Amino acid sequence: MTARVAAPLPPATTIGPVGWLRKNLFSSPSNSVVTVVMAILLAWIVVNLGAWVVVQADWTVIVSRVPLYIVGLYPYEAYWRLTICLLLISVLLGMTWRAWPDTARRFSYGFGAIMLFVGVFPHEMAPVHRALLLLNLPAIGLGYMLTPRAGESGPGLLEAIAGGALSSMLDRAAVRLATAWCSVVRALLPSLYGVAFRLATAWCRAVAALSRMLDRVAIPLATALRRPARALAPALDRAAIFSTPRRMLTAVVVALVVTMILILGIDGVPGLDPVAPQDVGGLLINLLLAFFGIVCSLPIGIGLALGRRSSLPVVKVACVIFIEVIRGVPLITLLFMSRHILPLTLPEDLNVDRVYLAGITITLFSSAYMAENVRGGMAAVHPGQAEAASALGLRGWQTTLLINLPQGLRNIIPAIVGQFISLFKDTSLVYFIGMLDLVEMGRVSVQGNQEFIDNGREVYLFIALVFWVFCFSMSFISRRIEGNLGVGRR
Amino acid sequence: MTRLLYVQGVPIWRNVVALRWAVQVVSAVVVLSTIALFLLNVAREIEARDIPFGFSFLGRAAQIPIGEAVIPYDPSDSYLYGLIVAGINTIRASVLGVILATAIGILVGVARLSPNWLLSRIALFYIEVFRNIPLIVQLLFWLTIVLTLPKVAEGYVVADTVYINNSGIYLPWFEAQNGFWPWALITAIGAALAVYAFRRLSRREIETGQPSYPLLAATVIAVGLSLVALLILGPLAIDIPQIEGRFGRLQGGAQLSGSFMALLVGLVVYTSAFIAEIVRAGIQSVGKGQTEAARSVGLSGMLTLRHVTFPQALRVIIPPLISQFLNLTKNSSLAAAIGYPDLVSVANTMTQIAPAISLFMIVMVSYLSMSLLYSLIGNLYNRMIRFKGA
Amino acid sequence: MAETKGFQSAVDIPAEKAEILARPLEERDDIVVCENVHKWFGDFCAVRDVSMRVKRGEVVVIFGPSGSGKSTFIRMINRLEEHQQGSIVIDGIEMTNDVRNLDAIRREVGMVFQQFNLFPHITVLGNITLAPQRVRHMPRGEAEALAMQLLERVGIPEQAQKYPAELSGGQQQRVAIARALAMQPQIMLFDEPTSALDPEMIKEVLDAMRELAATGMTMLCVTHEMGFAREVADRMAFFDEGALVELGPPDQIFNDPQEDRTKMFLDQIL
Repeated sequence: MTARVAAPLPPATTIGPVGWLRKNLFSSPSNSVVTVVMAILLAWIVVNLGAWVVVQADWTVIVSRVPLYIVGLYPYEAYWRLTICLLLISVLLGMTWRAWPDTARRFSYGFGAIMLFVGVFPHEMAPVHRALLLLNLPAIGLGYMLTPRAGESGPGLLEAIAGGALSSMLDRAAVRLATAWCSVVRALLPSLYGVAFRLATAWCRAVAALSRMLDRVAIPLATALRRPARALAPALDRAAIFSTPRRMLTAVVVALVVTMILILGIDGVPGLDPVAPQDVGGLLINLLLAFFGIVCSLPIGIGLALGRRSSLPVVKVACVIFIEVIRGVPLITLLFMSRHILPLTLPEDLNVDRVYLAGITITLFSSAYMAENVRGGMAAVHPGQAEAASALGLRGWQTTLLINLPQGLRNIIPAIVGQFISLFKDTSLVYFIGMLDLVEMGRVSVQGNQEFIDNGREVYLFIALVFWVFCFSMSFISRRIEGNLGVGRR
Repeated sequence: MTRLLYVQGVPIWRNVVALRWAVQVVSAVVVLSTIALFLLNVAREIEARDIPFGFSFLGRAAQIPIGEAVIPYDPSDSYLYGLIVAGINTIRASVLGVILATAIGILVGVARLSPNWLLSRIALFYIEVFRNIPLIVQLLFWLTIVLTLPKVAEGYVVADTVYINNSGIYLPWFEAQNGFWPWALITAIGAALAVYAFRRLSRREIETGQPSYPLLAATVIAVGLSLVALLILGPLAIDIPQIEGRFGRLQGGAQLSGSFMALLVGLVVYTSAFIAEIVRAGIQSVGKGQTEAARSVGLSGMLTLRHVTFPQALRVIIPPLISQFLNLTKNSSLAAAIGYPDLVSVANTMTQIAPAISLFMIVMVSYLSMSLLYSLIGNLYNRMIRFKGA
Repeated sequence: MAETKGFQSAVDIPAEKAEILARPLEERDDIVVCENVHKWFGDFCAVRDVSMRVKRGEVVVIFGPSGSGKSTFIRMINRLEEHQQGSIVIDGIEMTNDVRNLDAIRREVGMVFQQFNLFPHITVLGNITLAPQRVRHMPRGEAEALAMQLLERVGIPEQAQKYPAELSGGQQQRVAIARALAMQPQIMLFDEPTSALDPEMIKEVLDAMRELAATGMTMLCVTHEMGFAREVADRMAFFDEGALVELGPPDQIFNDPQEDRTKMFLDQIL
């Protein structure tokens, strides 16, 4: 039998950071030129933009009127209601932690960082509101504790932090650094490889010693913590009240209803004075419209899609005309028409606020696009599925609702989220019927104030950043869900 | 009596055909009456509240100014003519936008697939930034950039011919002289000849295998003929913009107004981010095996791209690309927010005196017909490319 | 040594080729020379230290467990994968980064893939004539005549005007063979040509390959069809963990393998 020799090492120039650089940035002369040109261009942009943001730009136009951008003319006395809504959302975020640890962790970090920044940043803000904002951080933890600890023996989070996680992380980082260093030297100065290797070994040993010292502190600490944690475990189990999907869903729905009540208020309840719809503005109105649109446009869109697939000619034609007309015209013409025509269909004495008109229009607009997505998804379901369902004795409508629709929807999760994103972006157009959303607030700040007339760039960059954060987060979640469900990989 | 309700021994309420008909009729009645109710309601209210409606105003003088017009316009012209002028403005922005957005989108999409990590990351950054910010915010931002340019008197002047300032960009442009139409005719004939030569030479290349350079020949014929005629007939003069009068107004040349520039840049940047994603997905949809097979039969990189990758990627790219073109056209209506006189913007101004509902019905019908045109093109393409078996 | 394999072929063999093929295998020249070839994917060593010489007109069957580097090895012979150490010389042309050498080598070497990789947007005829027309600048009539002749050879001339998706797997693979032959290569590589096929279609593809071997084509086949190997191969190469473990005539490999690993693998699959 031939002896199995150890695998030979690849050439030094093909692995490690050097190999990575060669492969990804300098694989050919033309590639190298591209890299250099792009790097210079990038550096130029970053330096100039950075200098502008830090030195030249005057951010007073943002800092001095943050509430205006975020909530519009919402009455100051009722701000606490909004911060409570935020706390509810934080709890919900914490509740998702165990289901999607990766996504929830990133979102919690991002969300927490924003809360911390706004809560601590020096601008006009009452200490009460700052405190309420900072409370969001423990609120995420609370949400985490309210969900069941699927088989963990103690509060896993605590143990992970104390039980040597830090030192092992240190070890790993040190080894990775040493390996990288060795491969660089091996590629560039092979004669010095021996020295470099010895240096790296010494470095790893030093870090290991350091992490052992850390362990000496951390392990007793973890042991000490474990006892109270064990004692706490039953209590925590009892606290995990949202232990089934149904309970979780109930929690979500209750939280949303409470949020709506808090935002808009109820007549006659002390402390919950109703807020006039036109006073709800800024980012809040964009979010509310988007939320309303998202919740309503999916079912309407599904209905339209089913109508378009239906065998009833009149229903089918009506749905086709509705979908195609709405998709064929710009949203702002629809907003304009809704302002003039929708009120006519209602009794004369019923004075409907623009907010509702905008909400209805955006929802209908979005549902036409949603219908096309749903239709595409359902068309992609293999016809064999429907045949199998018929063979099992399901009726026509049962086949559609139980077989075709769920599979069709699963096919188009990315498209649905994409539609949600564009719906959120479309809420920026309600200025056209005179609502004070985030964009309009920005425009008013710039054009309505002699003082800030030259600060347009700061304002629009800020608004762009706000929208971007929301849209990018949504597309990030979509990619995650896609990965989890394995869409397209079946 | 009950006999009548039986068909071939089956009661009519259990007969599949009868049931189907009943459902059809009921659904038709429900849908049609809902629509009728809605329309009647609106019509009654329009009458009751004395809301202006009708199309007789179209012939009257509009008496509103339109800032930019490709064809001559005067406030004493009729509403209809004003709307046409505005429609041409919409088409101008859309067509230019579609061309530029496609070009940039393809560049960025290809860059996204580059083996160069840095280039691909920059392209990714471009895509993720611009498609996740509402267009209206981008337009307003570009407008502030344009507005921070210096005034006309202090504006940038490039080579004494191109003026850049806060009212826009002024470029030298051609002015038709006497021989223009003969020259245009000769150029058109040249183009036709070039197309013919291109086809002829391409076929020859295929038939005989001899390299025949069809593209080169066609370019030489088209450009050469046009240039020769240009030199002989002298049909075009170049009109250079100049600062005139006491108030320093710029006259002559071609003017691209500030709001038009902002609109164009915004539309192009926003749409190109989406197009880049479409192009990337299209090229990636062609499997790696295809390139490998092409390479293994000896096709070079360029030939592989031209005969294997591109034709297949195009089938995936074109349909969503056309829907992006439609989106761009519809999005050009946001011009209303930055003061470019497009269809919606002008119609909105007209509503101050003319019936709003009628005006916006016209606007919607115009956009609908543009959409129809796009989907017609899309359907034609789909029919053209459908290949058997796949 | 097509004649000695004991089946008759009706195909004409060109005179100069016949002259070479008339000589015994040992006296022919080497058409593929690999010396100490290495290939890594990142840190993973996919092919290690492989040296192999293939004579003109020889048929070598390469086999081994999956992931043993056999596909990577033959893909390196027409540069679909780049080798990182060692040298590969094809018909006297050294494989370097010189584009002209690479183009010359790609024309020398035809390849047939496991997944066929036909171009779905052009007809069968177009698939075969594309490269001769565009690369060799062959007139259309000539290219089409050649294509028809090749389709005749693989037994499906009636399918010329169809699109690949309308053909069965076996037919597609035979078109792929015809496509590779249209560039008149000296060497043919087969990367598991029958693995994606239904059992009843395997035979038609193997028949086409047998017939090709009979014409004196140099062939390197990665395949698990041991019957085919026993019948057609001049030599067989066993790969394991990236290394060339054993190389020898089929008789020796099947009846008297020198290496335990070869024996173990053959015991598993036979």
